[in-house]
Amino acid sequence: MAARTRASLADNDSIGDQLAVDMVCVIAPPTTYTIMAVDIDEQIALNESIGTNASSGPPTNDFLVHPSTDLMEGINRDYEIPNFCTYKKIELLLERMQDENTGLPIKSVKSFMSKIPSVFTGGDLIQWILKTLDVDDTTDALHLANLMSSCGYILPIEDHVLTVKNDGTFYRFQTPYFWPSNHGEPDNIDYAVYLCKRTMQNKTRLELADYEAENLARLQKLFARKWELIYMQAEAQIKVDKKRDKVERNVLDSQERAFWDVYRPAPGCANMSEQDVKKLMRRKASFLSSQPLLGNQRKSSTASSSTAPASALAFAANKNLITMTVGLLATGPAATTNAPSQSQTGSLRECDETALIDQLCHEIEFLKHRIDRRCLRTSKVCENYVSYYEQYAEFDPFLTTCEPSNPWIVDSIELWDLEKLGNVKEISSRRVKRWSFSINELLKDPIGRDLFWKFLDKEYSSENLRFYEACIQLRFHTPQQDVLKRVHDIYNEFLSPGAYYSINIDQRVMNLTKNNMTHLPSRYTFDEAQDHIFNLMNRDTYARFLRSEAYKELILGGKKKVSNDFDDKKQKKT
Amino acid sequence: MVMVWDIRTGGYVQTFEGHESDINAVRFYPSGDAFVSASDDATCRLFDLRADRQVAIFKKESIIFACNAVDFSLSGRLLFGGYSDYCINVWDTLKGSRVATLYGHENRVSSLKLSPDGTALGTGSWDCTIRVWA
Repeated sequence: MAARTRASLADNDSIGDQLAVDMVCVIAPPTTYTIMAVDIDEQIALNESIGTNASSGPPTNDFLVHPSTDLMEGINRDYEIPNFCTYKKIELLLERMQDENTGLPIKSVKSFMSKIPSVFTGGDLIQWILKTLDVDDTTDALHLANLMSSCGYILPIEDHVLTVKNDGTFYRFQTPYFWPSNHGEPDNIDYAVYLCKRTMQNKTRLELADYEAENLARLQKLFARKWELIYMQAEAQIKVDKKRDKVERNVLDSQERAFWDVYRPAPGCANMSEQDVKKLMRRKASFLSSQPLLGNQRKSSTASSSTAPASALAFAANKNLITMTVGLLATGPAATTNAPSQSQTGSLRECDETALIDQLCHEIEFLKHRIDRRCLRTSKVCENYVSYYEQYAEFDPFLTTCEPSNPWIVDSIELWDLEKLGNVKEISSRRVKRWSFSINELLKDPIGRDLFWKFLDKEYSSENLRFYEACIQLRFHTPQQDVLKRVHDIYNEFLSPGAYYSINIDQRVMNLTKNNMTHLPSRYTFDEAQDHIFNLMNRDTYARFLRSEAYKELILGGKKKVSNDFDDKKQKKT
Repeated sequence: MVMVWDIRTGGYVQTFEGHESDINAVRFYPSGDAFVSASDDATCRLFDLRADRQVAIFKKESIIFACNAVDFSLSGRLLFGGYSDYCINVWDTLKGSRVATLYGHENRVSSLKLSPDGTALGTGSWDCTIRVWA
């Protein structure tokens, strides 16, 4: 599990030389792919339920005979196929690779007794990527090639493991029909048919791998009732296959195998077709809610096509339309469900139109507001980033080696021990320096905050900080049920006439706050007052704090301390 | 599209367009004036709240897989992105170029965060490991 790291930077003020990132430790043990097994089982259960629905029609699974792309019309592919964006990019790349002039050299190779048609070598592929794309080096190129392969776009002609090696191994392009973007997740019946077909053909190159044989046995048990149908389908497919010529069959076999290697990968391979469940749910939700009207129309269209082959159903189910279509079928003939929905459509449409107008008005308002808003110039903003970086660069452990050492690289937690110290005298000047960046930096550091408290006490203005902290507490760290009580507490403590810690705010802010109090007291009631006090502290007290003797001493003292430390270490070394 | 919401009023106050696909993650720039977003279109974009526009895009022709998580280094100079292609790409925020790639994970990187003191980077992945980089 060794991790390789590359820092490839060749600029002058490069941060690359300082950037020596490496993986420190691996916490989890190597995983066995138990999750996948569970996944398959679940799927089987799901497909069983689909199967029962599908059995109402003849399960003529014509999955392989003609493309099912036409079934996807009316389905928004962007929503339906995960990683669609990525697939499209890979496909564009593939197109460039297959270009006659600038693409890869594709040839037929003679091996011992037979011919291997239309292949290219891994070496050629890597060279092409290096030459054509903006990859940094061979590792990068190989990585890209491997990923394209694991998505099933480039397939090794012999191996079940979809990887690319930078040598003379032969590879082949996947045919568009088997691209993951052209169909959804295939189901277990298709898989059973495929495995069945391979066992029937009795050829060494089609022999099942161990895990495939296991899968077949399991599927056979599961689909025992309709195994005959699966068997018949496999036979039919073989018949179609036999009509093709030998070379074409050879290519197609390898491509079909690669297709299943993507969706039912060999043990130990990452399954690229896995999807993010959270995303899937969100997709489904947005898909169903965003088009209530269109959804209606679609429902009727899917319902009307219910006479189509059962694979269409299985297909739709696979595409998460399961609840929609299956629900429709369960309620009975399409006509009964369609009639009421059509009568509702008119009123629905009216509602929808007014909603749409409202929405557009709101958008116009928003855009007007956007034009009016004063914006900083981009150049200004960029300068800002640079200065922020310059200020903080020395505190960034990824850019500057931290003192005394990074606890993740060196086996010592000195750094954290130093941070924990509450002792003002032993604090490093670096840390003290950071307090001067902004008042927030000062308040973030417990020691800095303590010192600031003491300083304010001396100036008899600590009530400002007290109020500010009470507001922060109210805003971010108070449970909803206590908010009302806290608001009144703060008011009594700081703002009411004769309050113990009476803070000094002007009449305008006072009126605003009082107004807020009479309306709905919330965690934002004191926003204006808080801003006012914060600005006061920032402009006035904080500036004086930075000029104070105590702070200056700390900066100088800290420096001495650090240099002493270094001297000590040097002496120890010598 | 990224929307900035006002939690007090419950309405959105700013919107930022540009991404061509789903946005998976957003993270504030350390100064709080800008934020970066990670998307399925394999790009990360830096949007500035004060300038009200996109100021940088982090992409490469050879990076085609979705970006799932992003975070900044303490100074905001480095941007770490966790991608579906199993790597973590490190970008130079100011130049918009890639400075390093961290290989190691064996499945897509799904989440990523810097330690609060900025000393290390933690990544979580679908390969069932959590890795710490420093």
